[in-house]
Amino acid sequence: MLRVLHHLVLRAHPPYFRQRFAEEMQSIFDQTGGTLAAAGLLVDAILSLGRQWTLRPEFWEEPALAAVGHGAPLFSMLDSNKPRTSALVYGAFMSALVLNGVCWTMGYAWNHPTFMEIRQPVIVPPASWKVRTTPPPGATTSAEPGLYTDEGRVVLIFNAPAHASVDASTADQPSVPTSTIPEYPADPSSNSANLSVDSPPSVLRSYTGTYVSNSAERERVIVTADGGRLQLEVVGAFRSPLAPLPKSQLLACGGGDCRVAFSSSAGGTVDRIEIQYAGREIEAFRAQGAVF
Amino acid sequence: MRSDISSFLPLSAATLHILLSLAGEELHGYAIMQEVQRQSEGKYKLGPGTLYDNLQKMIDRRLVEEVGQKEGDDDPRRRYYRLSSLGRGVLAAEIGRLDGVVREGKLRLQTRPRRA
Repeated sequence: MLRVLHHLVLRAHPPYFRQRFAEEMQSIFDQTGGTLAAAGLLVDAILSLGRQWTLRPEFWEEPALAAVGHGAPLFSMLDSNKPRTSALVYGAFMSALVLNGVCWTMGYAWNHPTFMEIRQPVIVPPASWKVRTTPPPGATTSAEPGLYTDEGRVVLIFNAPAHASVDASTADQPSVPTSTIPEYPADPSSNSANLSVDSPPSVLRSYTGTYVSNSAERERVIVTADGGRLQLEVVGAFRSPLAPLPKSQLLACGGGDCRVAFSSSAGGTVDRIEIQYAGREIEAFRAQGAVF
Repeated sequence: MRSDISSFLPLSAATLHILLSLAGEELHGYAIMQEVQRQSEGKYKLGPGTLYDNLQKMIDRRLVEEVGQKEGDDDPRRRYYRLSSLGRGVLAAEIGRLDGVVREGKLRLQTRPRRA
């Protein structure tokens, strides 16, 4: 053990000193008997290490080849500068080890938000739903909205009583900015179109952003949070506020045949949106505003 | 030449002992350590780190020359060192300086101070 330590300390010496004297110092160590004497030599080598690196900068590097000894041509001296095969293999192994370690650490930190600040949506049940908790006779729904993950898919579940939507219809209307984009026609038979999502702004912001589909049309979907509600805009098609759909994992957008679902990555970042409307399906991925 | 030699003086204890040990014959590092210990009757112990640090400086100042390996040696890792002519001159000059110091010291110690 002491011999290995002594060898390592000698290897840590400046190159010039190591090349000239390391073998001899190791030879002296091997000749010395007794643990105490060996420990003394180890201490001496450590002191020498500090002395060489701090007080002998002139001996850190090999002197320049001012003259080639023994008449040997210069090109033959270059051979000794070629790295040894074992050194190359060792370097490759260490590089692969460090690279794997860095990748593993990044992956672990991404999947364990304790080590990295990752914004995760936290769903707070709407206050209005908590007040109106009188279910109709025979209703079995429970007002327990929350965030559930299923194989990386984040689903907003709002189990609201059926009459809540009726009460919520009297709530403030979303402040949708006027534009030339047509509103998606509301379905009078749907009672979820005007539900408000009283989630904190930070939660709503995690869904906002621009999503772009991979299809040939490259549809762009913009999700904004206006007036405390999520607003959906399929650029060039329609704009509509989003509302939770009772007894479903989907969101309704305006009409009864429009359904929206958000998905997230394994790290909890919402990065995908699926829209079904008018017999069409759009699958778009977040193009900007992603949280890393 | 004389001015060159005087620029090396005074020598440190380690340098003096190493030059002194090499004055007789060519030695390798471990033998130098043992010779220094013998000369000082065990009062001055030279570690390998100090020995080779001083050897390195003395080789660069051309006080000591590296002979290399010797055939028939038990350990092929050993290299032998010898005193150069410059090193011998520096050692002689240092011995002379020390001789003067010793004489002056003895003279002073033999003279008893007068009491007022």
